[in-house]
Amino acid sequence: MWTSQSSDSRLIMETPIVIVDLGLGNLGSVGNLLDRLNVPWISSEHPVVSPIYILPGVGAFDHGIGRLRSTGWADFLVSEASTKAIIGLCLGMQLLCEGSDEGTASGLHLLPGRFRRFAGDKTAERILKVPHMGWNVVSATEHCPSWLGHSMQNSRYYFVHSFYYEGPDEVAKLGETHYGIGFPSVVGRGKIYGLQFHPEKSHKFGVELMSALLKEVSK
Amino acid sequence: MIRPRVIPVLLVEDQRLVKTKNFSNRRYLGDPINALKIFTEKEVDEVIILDIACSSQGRTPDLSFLRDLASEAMMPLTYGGGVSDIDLAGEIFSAGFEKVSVQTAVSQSHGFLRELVSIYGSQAIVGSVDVRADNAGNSRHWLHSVGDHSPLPLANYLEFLLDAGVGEVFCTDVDREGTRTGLNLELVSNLSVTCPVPFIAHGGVGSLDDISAGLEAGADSVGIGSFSLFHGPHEALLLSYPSTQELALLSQPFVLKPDEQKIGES
Repeated sequence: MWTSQSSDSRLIMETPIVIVDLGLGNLGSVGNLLDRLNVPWISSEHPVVSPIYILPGVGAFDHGIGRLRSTGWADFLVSEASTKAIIGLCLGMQLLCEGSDEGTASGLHLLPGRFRRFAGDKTAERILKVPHMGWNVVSATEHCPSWLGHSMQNSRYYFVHSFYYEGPDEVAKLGETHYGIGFPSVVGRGKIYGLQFHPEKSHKFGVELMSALLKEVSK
Repeated sequence: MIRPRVIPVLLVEDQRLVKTKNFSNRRYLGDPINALKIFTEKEVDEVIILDIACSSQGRTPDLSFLRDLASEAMMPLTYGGGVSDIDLAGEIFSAGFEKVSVQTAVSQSHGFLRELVSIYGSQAIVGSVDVRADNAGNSRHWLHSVGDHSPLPLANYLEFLLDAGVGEVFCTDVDREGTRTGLNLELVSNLSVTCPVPFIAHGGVGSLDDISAGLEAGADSVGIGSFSLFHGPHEALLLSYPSTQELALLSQPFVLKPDEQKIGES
C-alpha cells in the first residue's frame, strides 16, 4: 500500500490508521504527527478495524487498562494482534505488556515483559529524579533491524515515565536508553511495537522514526 | 544520559502573548500561536504556557485556543492557569498538552491534587510554587490569588506537593521574574537538592551563564522568559533559544567522577 517517491519516500496509505482513544491525553499530538506524514487517521473510543493501531496514553497503568477493557478495545486488540500492527506509545507500550509494579491489573500480554519503578538513588552525588523526564537518546541493540537503527541515529526523544521495561525476551529488545540504569526503550515482536518515549513530542526525530516504523509495518 | 531542559515560559492573557516583570507591568508582545510556531522551529526542549488571566481571575481556559496552540507544537507542552477541576484537566490533555501546572486550586483543596495525580499520573501534574521575599528578606511561598505570603513555611508546601505525588516542581521567584538579574541560587539550592522529582527553576534568567549557574545550584531544568523573548538593553522583541552546541555544554552528569570534581582546584 505504501509507495516511495524519490529520496524522501513519502508514505501513501488508503485505510486510515486508528488511534485508540482512551481519554488519556495527547491524541491530538499523535494526530498532528500523522498529519505531517500525510497519512489518514481517525481516533475512536470504540473498536474500529484498521491495518494499524496506535495506542497512545499517559497516566496510571490500572486506569489505562480499565479504560481499554471498558471500551472493548482490550479484547479487540488481542483478537487483531496476530495479523495487524499495533504501536504502543509511553503508557500504551506498558499496556501492551504483561503488567506494571504501578498497579495490580494485568496488561494485554501482546508483548513479553513488565515494568518496574526507577529507584531514586539517593546515595549518588545527585539523586536520580523520578520520573525520568526530558530528552534522551536510544541506541540500537544487536537485535535492532537496520531500518530502525538507522532512524534512531543522531536523534533524541522526549521521555516522561517512572516505570521502565524489563523482559525475558532479548530478541524483543530493539532500543536501549540509559537513565541511572540501562533499560529497553523500544521493544517489538512481529508487528507489535512499544516505544517508551513520545515520538509525537520529539520534533523531527519522532516524525522520522514513526515514518520508518509505519513503512515497515505496512509492508 | 539525559540533558537538562531549558524551557521557554510563555505568559498569555486573553489569547495574547505578554511578558511581565514581577508578574505585573505586563507588556503585550503578539500572537502566542505564532510564537509557539517559532519555538517549534527552533526545536526547543519543551514549553510552559501560563494563562495569567485565568489564574488570577478564576476563569477557565478556552480549549479551542489551547488546541490551536498545541497543533503548532512538536515538543511537550505544559499548561497552567485556572485548572480547577478534574474534567477540565482531562480536556487540556486531550487538546494536546502533556502536563498541567496547578497552584491556586491545590492550595485551596488538597484532595483535588491527589485526585488529579491518581487519574492522570504523577508525570502529568506539575506543582507550581511562587516565591517572594518577605520584609525580612526570607524567601516565602507567595499566594498570587491572595496577594500575600502564605502563613505556612515554604518547605511545608513543597512537602505537601510531593506527598500528593506531583511529577515535577515549577518554582518561580516572582521578585526576579522578568528582571534578567539571574536566578535565586540560594532558593534553587535549598529546594532542589532534596527534591525527589525534577525541579524547574524560573525567574531571572538573562544569560546562558545564569542557566548554568541554576543547574550547578541543583535545578534539573531552567525556565526562561525574557531571555528567549527579548534582545538587547532596550528589550527589543526577538524570539531566540540556545543552540544545540550551547545546550550540550550545559550537560550535567548525575554522579560527578572524582577526576571531574577536581577541575578548577589545581
